[in-house]
Amino acid sequence: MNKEKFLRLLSEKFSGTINADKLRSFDRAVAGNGEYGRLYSRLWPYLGSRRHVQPRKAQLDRVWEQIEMAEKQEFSGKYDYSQPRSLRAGLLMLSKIAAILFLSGAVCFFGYTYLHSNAARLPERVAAGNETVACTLDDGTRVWLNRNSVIRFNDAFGKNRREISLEGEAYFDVVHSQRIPLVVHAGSIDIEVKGTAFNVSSYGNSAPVQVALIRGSVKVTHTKGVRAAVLLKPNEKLVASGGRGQSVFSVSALKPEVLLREIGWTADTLVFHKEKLRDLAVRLEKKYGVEIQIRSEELKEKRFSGTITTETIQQVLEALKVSYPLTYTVRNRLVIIDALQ
Amino acid sequence: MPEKNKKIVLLFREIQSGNKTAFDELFGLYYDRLVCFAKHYTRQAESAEDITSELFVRIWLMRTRLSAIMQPEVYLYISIKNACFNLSRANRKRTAVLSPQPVEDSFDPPANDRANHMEDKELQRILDLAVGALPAQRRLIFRLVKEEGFKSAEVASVLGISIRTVENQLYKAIKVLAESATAYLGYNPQARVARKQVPSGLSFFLI
Repeated sequence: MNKEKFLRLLSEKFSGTINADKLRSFDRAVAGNGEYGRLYSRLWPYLGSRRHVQPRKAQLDRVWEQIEMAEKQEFSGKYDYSQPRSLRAGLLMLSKIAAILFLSGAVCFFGYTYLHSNAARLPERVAAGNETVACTLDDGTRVWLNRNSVIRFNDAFGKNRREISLEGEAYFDVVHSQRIPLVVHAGSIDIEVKGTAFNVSSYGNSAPVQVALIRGSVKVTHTKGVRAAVLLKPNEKLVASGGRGQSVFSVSALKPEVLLREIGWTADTLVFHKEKLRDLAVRLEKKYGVEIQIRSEELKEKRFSGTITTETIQQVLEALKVSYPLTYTVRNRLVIIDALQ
Repeated sequence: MPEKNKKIVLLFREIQSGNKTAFDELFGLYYDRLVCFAKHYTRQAESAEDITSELFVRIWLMRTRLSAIMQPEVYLYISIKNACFNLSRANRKRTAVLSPQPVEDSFDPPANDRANHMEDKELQRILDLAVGALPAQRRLIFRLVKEEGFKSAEVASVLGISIRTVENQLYKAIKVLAESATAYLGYNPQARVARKQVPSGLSFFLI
């Protein structure tokens, strides 16, 4: 038996498709040929070893929690596969569109008192004035605050609890923590998350609260009246309207393009005019969430002008390189800029 | 493994009649494996876990119709694969704005994580590396057989490829592993004694 034939039989034995005849000749080859025998005795234990399956109690509990929620809320649209999908999906979509049209027209009322009572418990505060602000909270969660928006959050953020209250619009990229869920209070709803990215807009009493989920999953509950809970999946947007104990949730699936527009403001335009590289670097660090080191003192004082909207950090660096002789290296989230020798 | 299949058919039947313990058992048997499988596509632990959890939620919610599923195990894997494809389709457009996720190659189980029959840790490490270096599809096929105990036909229907392809890929994977093992044994002092006994084999090793 040549080696190819031997390996073919070994592979068939491995996948369990070998027949009795072949198995016999395989066994003969293993017993009769020293090399094959040795190879088999070394490889077979490896092929037969399985990974241990870990017990996942926490995840199982979470699945039961989701099931319970889905069953209780009749929020079964996305889990209901009992009907042929084509017609149903169309109708569902229509009703969703109708709901959005209706709700977005509706003006709603928000529990300001609720926000104010929260303010006392949440001492830390970040506010955005005329430009958007990107900040990283103590636990590593990144928040982009849109213009004229304010967040408040508890001190020692991430130690024992993570609570944020929001007025205005913000995009959250939450660091995963199974132990300490993060809660965002916005208007009349609470959004509970473990680790996701999502956008919330909650402009006082002028518009309904909107939550658009990018990835992961979030649980949205009403703080007043009926304690309705809804579980959002990626690419879904929830619009909560109504006050005085009345609550209406509507959930719609979003196309990624639309979603992009939803969070487009986070990639806000960065305009700089004759700005020193040392100052520009700070703004770039914020915008792209990177650390920038400038190795040359002389280079730090050089001035640049430009506008950055949707460019990647790579493109920005490339553009800087074109306008001034410099070199850069990117290592993970660390950017090192140096003068060209 | 027929007894394994019999087990899952039994569990599905129990779940259909509303047995929560059976559901817990199914979860225990498959959650980890399915997450691993999903990670092969999503390359991200978080979404792999979400996709898998969602599948289990769906199984419970549609439990009354579980009997319509002919091959429960294959069904689980195909569902995960489809969910991963849907997610990546949805993801493709927005990756431009969001910062790229770090790629976790945690599909490779840590070495101490396995039921250990391997006495030769070094050989095991070398074989793990060789498996890790296989082309993605071949690695996936190999692992479905090795870790999940799938037959070629099952792998074929999960991945939507022909049985012949599966078998060819498996053969190629085995061939690479055999080469790594022989190369290792060739350098291993313990194997030197054995090598002298079969000098004819030596020339074969070096080819």
